[in-house]
Amino acid sequence: MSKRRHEEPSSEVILPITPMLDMAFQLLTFFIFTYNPSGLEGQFDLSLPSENEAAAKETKQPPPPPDPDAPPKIEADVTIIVEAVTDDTNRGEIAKIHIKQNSGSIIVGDLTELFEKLKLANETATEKEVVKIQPASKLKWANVVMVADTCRKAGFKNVSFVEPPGFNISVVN
Amino acid sequence: MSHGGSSEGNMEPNLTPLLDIVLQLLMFFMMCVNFVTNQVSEEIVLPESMSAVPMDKNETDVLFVNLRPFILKDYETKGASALQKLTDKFKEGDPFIIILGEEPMKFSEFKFWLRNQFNTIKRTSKDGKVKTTIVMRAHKLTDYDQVYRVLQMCKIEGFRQIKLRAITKSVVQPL
Repeated sequence: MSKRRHEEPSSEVILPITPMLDMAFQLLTFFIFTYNPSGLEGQFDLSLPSENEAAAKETKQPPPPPDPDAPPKIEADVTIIVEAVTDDTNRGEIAKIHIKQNSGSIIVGDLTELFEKLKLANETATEKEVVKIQPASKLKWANVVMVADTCRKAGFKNVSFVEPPGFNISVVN
Repeated sequence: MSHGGSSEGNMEPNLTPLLDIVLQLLMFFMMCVNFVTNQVSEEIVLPESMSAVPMDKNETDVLFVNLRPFILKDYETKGASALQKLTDKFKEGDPFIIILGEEPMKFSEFKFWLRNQFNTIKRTSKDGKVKTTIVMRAHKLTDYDQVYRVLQMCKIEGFRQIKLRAITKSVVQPL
């Protein structure tokens, strides 16, 4: 019995690697071509006027009395008003930035200057974490986000957005 | 490669290490592939923000709202009939609200769509409360008043949680 087994030709199993490699290359090519390292999306919270105020504006009613259970509203010491360029070539870019405080108002030209002034303003502000931003209607959203970023970098953690000048919620297209 | 001891002179290359490497590369690319799990629109180029934090993966009850201005040249590659349909409805620079699975909307249509969504969610919710988060994806070229209007609409209709999306600045998206 054992002698016969020794005489049998060895049955070596050969795994066909070549077709598997072909398929693997095809898949690899597909994934290389479709590989798109897109930027990592993140998100941030925002503060807006309460829905009661907004609804009251829409229906042109006087604002309802404040909710006693609602958290106390913290008024910001610092308000930033951002003006937009209106000419056709640079429409929506930042034209001027006003920093309004109790002590007065100053104008800055760019975000670097805004950061420096905000850092100083943060030292004197009573509410050190709260800042309001009032961008112009036609300011590009990317610029609004940059201004908000600058505020956070300067130490204001709670950035709230105020409605743009002349805004009317009831006008919808 | 050569089998020194073999007298048959088998010249077949050893493909196994090559296959190993290919499979490892394949695995890398498969892991990196972005599956479309969110109702996001590729037409939106988000602004960059340093303060944007990574999303909470557990947050599943979300409604994506994509907003951008209508720019004709961005849609010229679409078919003539689709383009005609868009230009009949939108003028250059008009707000263009994209909800996946829906036709592009104007503010007036979006308002009713949002109200319907809120009522449906409220009706189907176990405790009658709406805990859905609105995730706002606004194109970087959108005017601020348009973004503000959408956010206010969401608040008026009753959505309490609103989040804004941006590209985290450390990873810059190539333009």
